[in-house]
Order: sequence, then C-alpha cells, then structure tokens
Amino acid sequence: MRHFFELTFLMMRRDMIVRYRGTILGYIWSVLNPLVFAMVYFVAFKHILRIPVENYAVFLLTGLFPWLWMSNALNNGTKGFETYQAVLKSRVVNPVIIPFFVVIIEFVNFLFSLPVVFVLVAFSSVPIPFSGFIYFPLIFLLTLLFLLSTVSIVACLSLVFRDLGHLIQLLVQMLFFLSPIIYPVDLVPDSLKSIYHVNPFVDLIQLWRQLLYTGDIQLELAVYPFILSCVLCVVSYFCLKIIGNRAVQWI
Amino acid sequence: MDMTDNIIEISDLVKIYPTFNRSSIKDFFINRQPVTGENVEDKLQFYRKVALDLHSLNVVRGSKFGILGHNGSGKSTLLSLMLGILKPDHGFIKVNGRSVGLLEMGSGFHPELSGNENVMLYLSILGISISDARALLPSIVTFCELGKAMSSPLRTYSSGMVIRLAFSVLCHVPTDMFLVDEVLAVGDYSFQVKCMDFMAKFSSGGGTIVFVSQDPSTLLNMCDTGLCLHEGKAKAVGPIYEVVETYIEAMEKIKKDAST
Repeated sequence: MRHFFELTFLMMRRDMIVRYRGTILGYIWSVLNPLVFAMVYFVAFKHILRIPVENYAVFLLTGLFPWLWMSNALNNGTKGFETYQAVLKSRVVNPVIIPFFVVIIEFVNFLFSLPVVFVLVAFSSVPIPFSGFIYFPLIFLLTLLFLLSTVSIVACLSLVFRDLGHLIQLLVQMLFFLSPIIYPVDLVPDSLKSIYHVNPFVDLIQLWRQLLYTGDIQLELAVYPFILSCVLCVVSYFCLKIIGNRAVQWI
Repeated sequence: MDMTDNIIEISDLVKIYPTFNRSSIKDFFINRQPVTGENVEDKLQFYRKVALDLHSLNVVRGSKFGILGHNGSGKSTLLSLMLGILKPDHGFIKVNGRSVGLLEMGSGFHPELSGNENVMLYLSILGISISDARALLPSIVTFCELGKAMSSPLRTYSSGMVIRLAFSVLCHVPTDMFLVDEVLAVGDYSFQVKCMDFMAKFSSGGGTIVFVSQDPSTLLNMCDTGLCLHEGKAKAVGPIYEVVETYIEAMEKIKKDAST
C-alpha cells in the first residue's frame, strides 16, 4: 500500500516535469489556463448575460476548479492505460492503479489551484468558511470514490472501443453547461429540475462550492452521488477484472 | 513428491489473442456482420489467434534456459506470461519466486526525465521502495558508466545508452529469475561483456536466467537447457544443443520449401 503511494508520487512528479520543465512560467501554467478561462466566463456571464450572483468571481472559481479536476480526470482516463502502460508491462500489478494515478494527479493540480481561490476570497468581502472545512475529507472521499469508479470504467471500455475518448470529450463538454458552474442552481426552471438532477455533477459541484465558499454544507446533497458511486464502483470492479487485468494485450 | 525444484511450472497453457483487437463503437453497433454458416470459419479465425499452446514445461531453478523461435512464434508472449503481466486463457503457469525482465527496450522510461530521475521511477515501477531505490542509485550509475549523461534528459541518449541504463537498473533489482529478450546485442562490446559477467555471477549464485533469442550460437554459449517454439507450439524441449539442432533443421526446411 505504501508502495502504491510512492509510485503515484513519482508518477505525479514525472507528469509535472514533463508538463512544465523548460517552460518559463512553470507551475503558473497550471493555474493560468483555468484563470484565463474564468476571466472569459466572468465577462461573458457576469457583464453580458448578467447572472444575478454576488461575488461572481469567487462563485465561478469555486465551481470551476473542482469541475476541472473531475472533467480532466474523465478525459485523461480514456487514455489512462496508454499513458501509464509501462507500469503494467513491467510487473504484476493491480490495474486499479492506473485510474488511481489519473484521479490523484488531477487532484493535486486542483490543490495547487486552491490558493488562487483563497486569495480571491480574502480580497472579496466574504469570510473564509473555516467552520465547514471539517467536511473536506468527507466530500473529498465522495468525489474520489465517484471519480475512481467512473474513470476505471471509462479507461477499461476505451481499451475495447477506441472512439470512446471522443464521446467522453463531448459528454464532458455538455455536462459543463448542464452543471451549476457558471450559474446558480436556482436559475434552473422547475420543469427541468427532475431531469437536471440526474447529473451527479450537479450535487458534487454544489457541495464543493459550499465547502470552499458559502460554508453551509447541505449534506443531503451527498446522498445521490454516493448511491450512484456505489453502483458504479461495482460496475468498475467487473470492468477492471475482465478488461483491466488483460490491459496489456489490448494496448 | 516431485524432487526437482522448478521455478516455472506450466501445464496445458493456452494464450489466445483477439486479432481484431480494438474496435470502435460504430463498428460494434453498425458494421456488425452476422456470422453465418458459410463464413463462420473465417470469422473465428479473424477474431482469435492462438499465440501459445504448451502442454507442459518446467524450468529448473538455477538453470539457464533459452527460448528459440522465429518472429511471431510466441517467444515474447511466453516471456510476458512468465513475468505474470499476461494471464493465460486456459491451463496454468506458476512461478515460484520473484522475477524481473526486460520485454521492450526502454519501457518504463520517459524521454523528458533525466537518467537519474528515470532510474528512480523505473525502480519504483519495478516495485522497489523510494528509500531502497536511493540506496541502489549510486551502484547503478557506476555500473552503466554513463557518467555526466545521467543528469541530462533521456531524449538526448542514443538507443545503446538507453539499453545500458535499462539493463543496469534490472541488474540491481533483487530477484530469483531474470528474463531477457535479445536486447543485449544493442550495447557495445565492452558492455556486452559486462552483462555476460553479471549473468554468470547471477547464475552461479543460484539465479535462474531465461533468455530469448533468434540467434542459435548465442544460446549455445549462454544456456544449458531450452525450448524451440514454432507457431506457438513447442517443437523441442531439453538440452540446448538438441533444441538448437531442431531449430536449424526447421530453418533449412523452410529455406528449401521457399526455393522450390
């Protein structure tokens, strides 16, 4: 188990080095990219579409950064087995380590971007919601379980179906607009709500935003993602068992 | 009770590859041709290829075992199965001990990382803890004789240097069995001698060596027992000279068939 984390750490360092070595801005790139997007969204949705939300910048980033963790993990998951094939080709190892790499590496990127959120919160009039931080492990574990299951399924299936990656990319783009990232959930009309809430990211994004920004965490939002994650976890177990264990011959 | 101490035990081992490999979702739903009586043979052949079919094979602990065969005869598949990274479709293979091997040149390395960083990562991939890897690093650096190049990125290395580094890492991993896939030929002469010395020392210390090659003379020099593979099946098993003899006979036959 300890070795599992050591290997993840070294893989993460590898990915960081590969991404940022030789670039002048280095680490700043990992924050700059989402920030530039956030600025564009800010202009488009606050000043042009005029979404009625106070402290829109904080509101946006506290939804956008967790979303980027989840969406990047899903997108990278489709090529996961290819990116980390050396691990499977060198030694007998549980294939779940591949989705684990994907999810944790994107999580660390997310952690790196959090200081930006806190700086923004500090400069705005909202108080930093320290009291809610005790829920961090809970919400983190929930998201981790959800992501590990979905990324495992996606990674295994894209070994068999090579165009799944494109499909996931499309789906992720759609879900971005179908999740309360750039707008608050109360803007969704009642007639659409029942369908809208099928998307598990709706609850997850809200939970992260409550944790990082508003501070009043509605734990009942965690129920649906949790149940769904448990179901997906079972599915992912079979995917890893049937396809993941034989990944080397599919790569 | 079986008195010989086998490090590898194989019985009724079958490995089948799906040859269509990866398909697209579109093919799966739209281009599905029905399997009818006429094309059932074609279809089955198209979907599956028997890569390996071995009735029984034992490798004795401490032996130097050579595997000989043409391209596509199942050598690498057998090596992957011995390493455990492929699972058999039928039968079983049992490896009684730790094994380490080099299947593809430079797998586990990344071109952007320096030599030192690659060594640390590769050791970790091979299951060595970071603290043990740190302890092994100096002797690996000495062994591979790459000197200052160790701190520059791997993409600046020649392929011979990459092999040197990979082999040096593998030599330092504690193991009972060592599997090599004819990569040694890439290194220069002095390094080859060094590798041979290492293998001799490893073998006299009780270690098992499995060596895959297409070159009969190398195998005659290096191995005591062996296996000749042909289209996934064992043509000969036993003392290395018998195996090599069978291989050469088969080669001659192919040459004759081709010329007539």
